[in-house]
Amino acid sequence: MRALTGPSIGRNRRSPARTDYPAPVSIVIAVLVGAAVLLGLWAAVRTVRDEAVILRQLLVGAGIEFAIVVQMVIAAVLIARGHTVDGVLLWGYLITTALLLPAAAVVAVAERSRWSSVVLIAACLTLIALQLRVNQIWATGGTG
Amino acid sequence: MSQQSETTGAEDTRRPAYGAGRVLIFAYGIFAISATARAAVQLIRDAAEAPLAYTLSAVAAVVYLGATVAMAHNGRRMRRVAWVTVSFELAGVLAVGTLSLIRPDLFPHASVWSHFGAGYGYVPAVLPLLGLFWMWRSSPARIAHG
Repeated sequence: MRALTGPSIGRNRRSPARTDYPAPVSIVIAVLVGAAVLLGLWAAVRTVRDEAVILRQLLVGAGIEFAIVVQMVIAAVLIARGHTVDGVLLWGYLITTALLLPAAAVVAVAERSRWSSVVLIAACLTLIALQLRVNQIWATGGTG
Repeated sequence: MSQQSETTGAEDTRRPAYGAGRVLIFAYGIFAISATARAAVQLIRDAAEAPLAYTLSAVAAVVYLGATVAMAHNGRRMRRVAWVTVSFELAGVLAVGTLSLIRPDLFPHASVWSHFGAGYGYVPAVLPLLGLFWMWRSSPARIAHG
């Protein structure tokens, strides 16, 4: 409800900033982070066992990609409805997020050793970090 | 046993893999994507605010992209490209990192190399070192003669 307290400060030029946080956004972020944690742990187990990424892990990754598409649709709808959020910054993160797991899948096919599992861990960790930033962007309108 | 020729499974014990180098190349790929995204965001949104920092971001993005492709390709000429781009990164992060500390007025806004990549957990400073080590380790000449 910062909109009622006067002009916004800092680098946010789109005052007044609405900082209400839409529920669908937080649900998708929670699902994505949870799924990435589980997939990363699975990859960690396979790394310890000296095993490569398997197709079932890639299918989980495909599910995560689907959730990212859902996240993009939600973002597009909310922005179209006039939600104040730093759109350029947000899309930068969303597009980067979407590219991570496909890149890890390419490595999984090319590298049939435990190192593809390490790459999948790295992809999941990066995905979690980016989702936390997406969460921050929605929560602050992009000023934080 | 008959003299009939029989196809026995030829055992190729070599690993069909780059091994740990793939992780490094993947990390480079992540940085290539995120540096490109960051440069794109900065140039689209507020190019006029800090032309030097944002031009640097764009240059860093291009160099990360080049290094990623060159290291992944690993061909003879591409390895040379990889040496040049990875060395450029090391020089860049050292120069910009030092300058951003002693002349902060030059860098009012963060670039990927400011403060030796502190905003990215110092990964931009560590990556070129690992990259140079990998280029040395994976060198065909070293493997052949060593």
